[in-house]
Amino acid sequence: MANNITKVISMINWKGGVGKTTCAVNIAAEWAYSGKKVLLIDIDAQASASAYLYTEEKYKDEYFNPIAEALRSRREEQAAKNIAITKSIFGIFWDAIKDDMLFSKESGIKRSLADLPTLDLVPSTFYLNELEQEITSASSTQGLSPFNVMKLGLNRHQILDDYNYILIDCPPNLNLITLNAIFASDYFIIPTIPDMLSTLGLPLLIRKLQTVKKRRFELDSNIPKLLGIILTKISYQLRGIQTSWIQEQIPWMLDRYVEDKLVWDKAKLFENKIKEAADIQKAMEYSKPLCTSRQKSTEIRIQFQNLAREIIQNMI
Amino acid sequence: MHNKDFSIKTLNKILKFSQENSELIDWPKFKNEIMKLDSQVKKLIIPSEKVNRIFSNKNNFKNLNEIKQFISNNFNYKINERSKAGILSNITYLTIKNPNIILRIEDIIKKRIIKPEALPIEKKRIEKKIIPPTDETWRDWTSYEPNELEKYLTSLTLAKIKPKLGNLLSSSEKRLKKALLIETIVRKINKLKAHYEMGPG
Repeated sequence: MANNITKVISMINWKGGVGKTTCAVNIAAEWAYSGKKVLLIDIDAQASASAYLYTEEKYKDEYFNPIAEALRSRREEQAAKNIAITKSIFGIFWDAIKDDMLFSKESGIKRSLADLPTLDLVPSTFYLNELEQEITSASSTQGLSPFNVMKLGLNRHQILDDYNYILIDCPPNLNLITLNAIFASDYFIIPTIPDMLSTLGLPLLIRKLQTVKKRRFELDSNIPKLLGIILTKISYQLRGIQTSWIQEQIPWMLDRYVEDKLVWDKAKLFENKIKEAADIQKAMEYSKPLCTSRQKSTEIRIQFQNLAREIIQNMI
Repeated sequence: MHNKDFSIKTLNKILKFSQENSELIDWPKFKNEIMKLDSQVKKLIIPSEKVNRIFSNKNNFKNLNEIKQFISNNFNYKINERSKAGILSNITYLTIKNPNIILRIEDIIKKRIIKPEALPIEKKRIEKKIIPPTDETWRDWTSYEPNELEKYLTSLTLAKIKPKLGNLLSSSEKRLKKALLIETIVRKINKLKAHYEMGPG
């Protein structure tokens, strides 16, 4: 990316429910816990990471209710849009499209969350769904590359300079917004449950990115590097099936993608895996990542801690 | 001469005794003993020169079984002997009893249609057993087409297949019989290859 120090990483899998948000929040928190300046950007219109870290109550009061209310009376549609523009990731895209500076870093970046002074968040809104159309029309009228909008927005607001790591929590799809997040990143990580349907995210994403690269010569950067695959929801009951994926099938696919030069040769299956654990749900209820929750000394927290370190090591 | 006189004299004595004391003889057992003696005596006949010449010729008969079958089929006379000498003695006995038989034997042999020479039986080609490389794993099998893979795995023993599987199959799948195990491996590898190739582009 533009900044040599800041690393931007997307957390993506086309399949939902694989633990993208849990991984994004907890890994970002672990980095912040170790003293790094971290920004988590939520680009999922479901706003899971936003509700998790900013707390559901605060998010509802500040984002959901005002936007929903404004939308109910058609007259105030602009007011709804204004909240989304000034206070959410929507604004970063919007400013890049409209060549404006409406997004406010003061109100749009939620700082020092979850008792971690260096953990910040740019929330999402359900209004994000409206954005795809805006990007498409700007692309045709202004000649803007539809995949570089987010990157432009982050540069415009000089967000990269303030952080060591920026982690983007992507939605379970590969629409234009998600692709923008990927192309704004240096790396992407695929969290997956070791089963057939969840691991489909790996081939689908890799081939989709290749297709975009082939068709869009105007992309001014290479495809971001696949940093690795995080295995989530490891379950004792499913060990037979999961072992097959973990030890044989996923490594075989990764090796072949490396051989075919479809992914970065350092892409790996992270050794630290995340087990299925009730402690994750408990921490979530308190809107805390594991490192600052009551469960901070549990096995699952240590797994996240080690995983966060392993990810940094693979970026070096 | 002494032997001959003694033997005939003894046989006559036995005959005379059995006739005179027929009520004292256990006839079923006596019959068995006589039959054995009859058989033993037939074996002692010195084969005639003609019989020897005809039946020792490999062009006429390839083996002893063929001789026994020939006599049985043509003269309804079963020979139980196993030795060549015993068989030839029996045939000589038959020809002595009926001198025409030797002429008929000569006649049949002359007229016998010469069997066409049997074509050499093509030896079954024994396919060389495929020795897989020692460092081979299931990953190497992904380069095969499904049919080829099935054929290849079939040529290997279970002991050769199993160590190459790693954790590709579960422990219960690994316990399947060979045909089912191969089917499972082929299916799994095909699925994985399809999985790898999924996606646009």
